[in-house]
Amino acid sequence: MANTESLENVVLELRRGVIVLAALSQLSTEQYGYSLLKQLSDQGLEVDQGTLYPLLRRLETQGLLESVWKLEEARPRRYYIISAEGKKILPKLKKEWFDIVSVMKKMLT
Amino acid sequence: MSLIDRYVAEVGRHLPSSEREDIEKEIRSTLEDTLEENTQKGKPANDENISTVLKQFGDPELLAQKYSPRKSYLIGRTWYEIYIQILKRVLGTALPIVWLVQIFVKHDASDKLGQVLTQSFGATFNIGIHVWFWITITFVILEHVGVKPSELDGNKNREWSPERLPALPKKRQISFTDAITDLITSVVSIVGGIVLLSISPTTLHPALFTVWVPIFLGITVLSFIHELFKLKTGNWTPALMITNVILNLVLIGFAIAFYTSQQFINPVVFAELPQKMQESIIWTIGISTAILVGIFAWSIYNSIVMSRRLQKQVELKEKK
Repeated sequence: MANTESLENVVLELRRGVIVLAALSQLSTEQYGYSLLKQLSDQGLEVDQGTLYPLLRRLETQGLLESVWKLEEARPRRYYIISAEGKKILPKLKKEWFDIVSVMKKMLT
Repeated sequence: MSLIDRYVAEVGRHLPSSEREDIEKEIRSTLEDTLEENTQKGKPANDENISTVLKQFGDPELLAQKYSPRKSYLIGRTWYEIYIQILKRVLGTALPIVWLVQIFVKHDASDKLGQVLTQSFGATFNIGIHVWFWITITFVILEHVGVKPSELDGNKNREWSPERLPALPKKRQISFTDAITDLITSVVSIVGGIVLLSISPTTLHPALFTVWVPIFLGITVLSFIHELFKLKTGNWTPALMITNVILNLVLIGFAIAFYTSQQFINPVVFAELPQKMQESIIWTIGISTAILVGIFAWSIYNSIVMSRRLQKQVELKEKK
């Protein structure tokens, strides 16, 4: 029991950083919360709703995303899109990621 | 829809008012998106659908915390140590003094002992609560304004470097605060004994003033000297440990002997008291005696354990 719990915790921690990168990479076209969640899960990355939505908001206050409310199907939705600042740092983040992957690959095999 | 309304309101309740409206709107919109996906096309959402979706979103308080992390504690790690230290020092030194002042300034020899004790204790307790409250409030404000302890001594703009580490304090098993508190306790006991002797209320048993209080004064004067050495040495050396054990054994013997003698109240006065009151007096003194014996016994145990620990450290050093 304690084992699976600590495994889950480590996995969650590993994923947390990845979600930021994943969200930024997918938001070159505007998306609302649920559609981004779907898009991520269609590509194989399952993210908790309770994790993704607060994260989007935090990225916006950090200036990496921009958002706008739109009224559709009688329901207001908040659309997020990557900001100029976000576009600037995304390539650097990508490079960082690939570096980590290659280092870890060597370390783990 | 009422479950959704209640969920959104519950999240909002844990959000700061500046962001509440916006976040509530966003949560509601995403909840409805998710709900639509979880319901069969063309049918309205039922309660089961709603509760599945709400479970996915999780505990509303946790969700609010993720949206807007804020401090849900009064005093955090950086301030807690200092807070406790100051509280101990202020209460430990100020309250006994306040108590003595209460006794000597507000009362004179004509007042009854019981009255003197209860009134002075009550007043001291009130002041203690005030002091505790204001110190706590000060630290809560410091914590939530976001000041850090290191900023108070003018280091705000300097970057941390190893040179700024404080020098190692001299190792003491008995902290100054503890030693001073014990010293003050023995002073208070001595003063209390002298006050009792000088007032000699006739309501109390005559043997108190000829036998018990003088013996008590003798022991407390010895323990005062012992406390002075404790303060100076700061460690449970074998000599200090042995005197501590002897003193506390004597105190235990004294407390038990005093209780079994039953010489508390003047027999003439005591005989006139209602029986219930007689019983409650004996009970109160009995319980106090038991507590005191417990404290003395713990002191004996503690000094032996600490002394052994010190001995082991010395042996380790010699081996090196």
